[in-house]
This record gives sequence, structure tokens and C-alpha cells, in this order.
Amino acid sequence: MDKQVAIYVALNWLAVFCYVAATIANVSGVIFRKEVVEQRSYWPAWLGLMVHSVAIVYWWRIVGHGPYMAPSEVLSSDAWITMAVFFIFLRFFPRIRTASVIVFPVTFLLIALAIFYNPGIRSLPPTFGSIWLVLHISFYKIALGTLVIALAFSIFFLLKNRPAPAVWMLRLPELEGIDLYAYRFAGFGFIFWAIGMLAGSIWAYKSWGRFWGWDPVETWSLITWIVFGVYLHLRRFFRMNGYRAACFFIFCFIMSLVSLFVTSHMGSSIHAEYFK
Amino acid sequence: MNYIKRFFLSRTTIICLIISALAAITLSAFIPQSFLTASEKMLAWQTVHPFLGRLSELLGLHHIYTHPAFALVLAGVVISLVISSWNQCLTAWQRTFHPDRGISCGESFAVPGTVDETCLTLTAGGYYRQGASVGIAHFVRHPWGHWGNTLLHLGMVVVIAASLFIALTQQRGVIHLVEGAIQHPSDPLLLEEHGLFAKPLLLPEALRLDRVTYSFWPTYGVRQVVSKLSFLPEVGTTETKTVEINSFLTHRGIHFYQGIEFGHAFFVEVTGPSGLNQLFQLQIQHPETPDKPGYNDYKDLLGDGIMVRAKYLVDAEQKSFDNVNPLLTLLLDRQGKEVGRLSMQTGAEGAIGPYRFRLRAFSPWSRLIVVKLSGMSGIFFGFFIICLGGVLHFFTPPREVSVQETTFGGTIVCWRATKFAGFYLDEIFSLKKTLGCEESHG
Repeated sequence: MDKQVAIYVALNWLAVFCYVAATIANVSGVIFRKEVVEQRSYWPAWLGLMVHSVAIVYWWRIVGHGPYMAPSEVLSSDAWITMAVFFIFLRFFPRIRTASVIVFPVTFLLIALAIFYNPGIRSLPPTFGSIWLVLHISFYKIALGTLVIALAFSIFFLLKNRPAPAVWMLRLPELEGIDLYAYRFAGFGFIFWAIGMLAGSIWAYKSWGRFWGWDPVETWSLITWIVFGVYLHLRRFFRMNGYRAACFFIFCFIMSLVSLFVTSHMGSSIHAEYFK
Repeated sequence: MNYIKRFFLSRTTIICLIISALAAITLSAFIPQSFLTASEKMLAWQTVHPFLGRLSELLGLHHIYTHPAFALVLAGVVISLVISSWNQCLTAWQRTFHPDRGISCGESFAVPGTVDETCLTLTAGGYYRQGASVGIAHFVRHPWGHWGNTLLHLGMVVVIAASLFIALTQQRGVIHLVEGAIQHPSDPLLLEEHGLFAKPLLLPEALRLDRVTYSFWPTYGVRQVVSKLSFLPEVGTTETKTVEINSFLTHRGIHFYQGIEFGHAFFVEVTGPSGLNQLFQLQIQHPETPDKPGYNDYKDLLGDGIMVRAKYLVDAEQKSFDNVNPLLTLLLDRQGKEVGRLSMQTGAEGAIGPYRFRLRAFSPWSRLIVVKLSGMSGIFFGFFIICLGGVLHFFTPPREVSVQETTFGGTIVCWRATKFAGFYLDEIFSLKKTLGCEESHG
């Protein structure tokens, strides 16, 4: 068992190393306007993703369930999905490329944080053996991935909107475009969050006969979803954009982190099992 | 009528309603709600937060979801959603089937091919012909995207309506049954709940728990709990069915769910100081590991203010769960002070103070959740519509193209995205390339 844990931790460290290399190359490539370095930063990122995938699959086989029980598994899979979601969206929307400056470091910070937790084997409670739970968790993770991209553009807006922005900021799209990307990805996150809630309610109904129980995690998830709804309505109906929209989105993002990572620790929650 | 419609469609009304709903739900996350919190915990919270406790009593904040103000907000949200969904539906219909031919052009560019060639290329590229006006051919990509907003909001109406229906008509309760025991239709259910328009749930026929089986992971976590049930009608044959975690069973319109709670029930004979003999059934939750006991407290079980605290080990030797040889320990507690304790195995007896105890038998028990409700399909259908609407709205905004011949014989193409145009700039470049324009990717 110790050997298996050692292999898993080693694979995670290797992935961290790749992601750190990717982050350094990417950030320096973007800031110092070295296009080749920036382009090549994707090599270690892809390599990191592959090693990371192997680590997740390897641990999945050992513990017999997906990466959603122990904190180390949860954070590691969050990191993996954040990176994978970025690559998938990048394929369809090449203009979001510069979001890598935020996405890469977020990914390595998540997986590095995962390593600090003991990866001990957690057995799967019987109510967790449902496909709806897997979908429920997966969609929340995908939502987090899209929200990280929206966060990147919100931060870019705040940085570029300053009276004297750094020279490298000129490489970023126009302010209007940055604002639009943040808006779009917040919308994507809103939808994935809704699908996550839907899958969760089906899971709860199939397990306990109650589709909504006002559990703390459910309540905070709904609150976060409505806050994103407020953000989207303010943008659409009240033409909120630019600085105010970026600040409001950052608030929404913090709310989503609280919902995903803090409320799960509340002992009274059914979800407490998930992130003990 | 128009004024009411305008009021509910006003952006200020909509945002106020959303923020009010948000505020109510957020308050409910901070102030314990009476339907979720045990009365002792509620009292403890009020003691720790005297000001908030008084405020909560005064404003009814401890029952937000049944508060008239929340009902008013919810009604406002529903009316607004219904009206806006209808309006959006009309708009989507108009845009899909009777598009406005005078649409503004986002970006126009000349292409080398003829109008017919351009139209063919557009069709091959996923654009649907949407008819033609004088000299102009109209195309649209993702026409279903017009329906995104409609479905998103309509789905919310369906979910809220179905939730209200369920809340008003549902019946539910819990049964704790020991192997071999029968729950008769007249026996009350534990934790019984029913909607405003429903009566307490009654089982249509007697129910017997034939057998409880459970299994564990090597780490002693519960792997599965299965109950074999027999339904005993007054007339007719007995039906035997099985329910397990994550696989509920339905019998005569009632759903039975296997609860995660299970353990052993101990049949303890107690002889009091007066010589009165009583038989008690003490149900205790299964321990988490062989070396840790499962616990339960029984307040005033003996009737003289003494609390009986019970714990048990599945295996008296604390080695495994496979060897079921339980050791029951009883402790009598009078106002926080231990009167005495006694450990027993089946058949053994002993005394604590003036009470004499004898453990006659033990048997497994399990919790069954009994639910009778209709309207769940409405919830799931509504959620599905929300998700579908969101996907259509955010992922497939329609892109419109019109093609016309210029007076000099050339062809002009007009492109525009109905929403988020800046996000689809790459599509214009790709379209120009496909149509043979020289311009390259920007």
C-alpha cells in the first residue's frame, strides 16, 4: 500500500513540476512577448495533463471509486478538469488563449494543495454509488473550470483598465472583448452549475426520495446560482459592464468557492461525507 | 392589464424580485429553520443569539419558506417568469418563422462567387435557408438558439410549479423495523410529514421486514444495506420485494427507500422496584468499527426520570463485524450522575440499583423511508428545460447571413450574431475564407 501511495504522490509531483514549468514559460512568454516561449509552454502543460490523468486513473483503480471522496482526490480532479476545460474551450475559441496566465497557475496550485492532504483510501458510502452523483460532481467541476476562465478575463479587465497598464497587457484583447469573454464564460458556468444541481437533485431523489432538502450545501449552491443569475441580469438589462462587472464577477467567483469548498465541511450536511 | 404586464416585465421589478428571493434564501442559511432544526438545537441557538432569536421570533425568520412575504416574492417571481416566458416565446416564434427582413447588418463583405454559389457554400457550412425577400437570400445558423431564453425561463416556471405542488400534496414518513416485525397500516410513522392539502400517510397494507442484510468495505465503511419486505394484504397473496440503497421500490403508489441507518435491536426485560416486569426494545445504530460501540440514549424509559444510556459492540471480542456476538452495556443516569452500569450478552442478567435487567434476544433493524408524492416528473422535466434553454442560449446564439447581388453583378454577404457578436469574430474570418475572400485570420 505504501508503495502505491508513493507512486501516486510521485505522479502528482511530476504533474506539478510540468504545470509549474508550463506556468513559468507561459507567463514569461506572455509578459515578455516571446511568442515561441508562450507557444511551447503548452508542451509541458499537455505533458502535465497526461501524467495527471495517469495519476488519477491509477488511484481510481486502487481505491475503486472516482476522484471525489478524499480531499486530495477532489482537489486533484478539480485541477485536472480546470486544465481540460481550458484546452477544450481553447479549441473552439482560440481568442481565450491568454487566459492561460491564470488557468495554469490555478491548476498547479490546486494539485499542489491536493498533495498536502493524506491520500488515504476512503471507502465509498452506499448512497455514493450512483451515476447521478458522478454527473452531479462532474458538472460542478466543469462549472468551476469555466468560472476560472471568466475569472481570468475579469482580472485582465481590472489590470488593463488601470490608467497605465503594463506593456504586456497590450497583447490582451481589447477591453470590450475581455469584458465580453468574462460575460460569456460566466454564462457557461451558470449553465454547468444548473446541470450540476439538476443531477444532484435526481441523485437525492433516487437515494432518499427527496429532491431538495435545504441541506447547507444545497442552499449555498442555490444562493450562488442566483447570485450568478443576478450578475447575468445586471449585465443584460442594466448594461452593467467593465469595472463594475469585473468586480461583481470576482465576488460571484468567491461565492462559488465558498459553496464548493467551505459549505461541504458543515457537519450537518449530507455532503460532509464527500469532503471530510 | 398592460400596466400590470409592464410592471412585471420591468427590469427593476425583475431584479428586485431576484434579489428578494436571494435575500430570503441567504437569511435561511444563517437563521436555523424550524422545519430543519430540532427544538433543543433551536432553543440553544436562541440562547446563544438572544437578539437574533427575538428578531427571528418577531419577523418569523425561523420559518422563511412558509412566511407570507416569501410567498409574495415567489408569486411575483412566478408571474414575472410566466409573462416574460410568453413574451420571449412570441419573439422566438417571430424570429424563427417570420424573421424581420430589415435586420441590421453586423459586417458586410464582398465575395467572388455568384449568389447561387455563395448560397450553396453557406448551406454546406451549416446555415439554414430562411426564405428570401426581394433580391436577398436569408440564412441562419443555429435558429433554435432563439428559443434558449424562452426555455430557460419556462423551465423555472415548471420547476417552481411542480415544487409547490409537491410541497402541498406530498406524504412521507419513516419506519424503523426489526427483523420479523410487522408495521400495520394503523401504526403511526416516525418523522411524519404531509403537505397542506394532504393527510398523514397510511400504508395500504401491513408490512413485514423479513430480513436485513448489510455488507462492509475492508475499511468497515458500509457498502450496502438491503431489506427484504413482505406486503401482507388482508385479502390475497403476500408479495415479497427487496429494497436497497439507491434502488427504491414502489408498491401500490408508495415509494420505499432503504435508509442508511441500521443496527441491532435488543429485547431487554426490566423488573422495577415494584416488581413490575416490562419488555423494552432498544434499537441502536450499527457501530462504525468493531472496536467502537454504537450508542443510543433513552430518556425517561423507566418512568422515574432516569435516563438509560445504551451502547453495544457487534463482536464482544471487538475483532470483526462478521462474528455477530453482541455485548450490550446499559448505564443508568440520574441528572448527569451515573447510577451504575451493566454489560450483558444474550441470556445474561444483572442489576443496577433497584432495577433488574435481562437481555432476552437481539435482532437486526433497519430504517425505511416511505414516500408518496406525484409531480417529480414535472421537476425533472423543468430542470431539463432549464438546462436545454441555457445550452441553446449560451452555446448556440443564432448567426444570420444575408446574400444579395450588387448592381455591378458582384455578391455581398452580410453577417451578424444575434448575441455576443464579439465572441464569434473567428466565425466571420472562417466564413470569408470559405467563401473565397482574400482576408486572413486577424
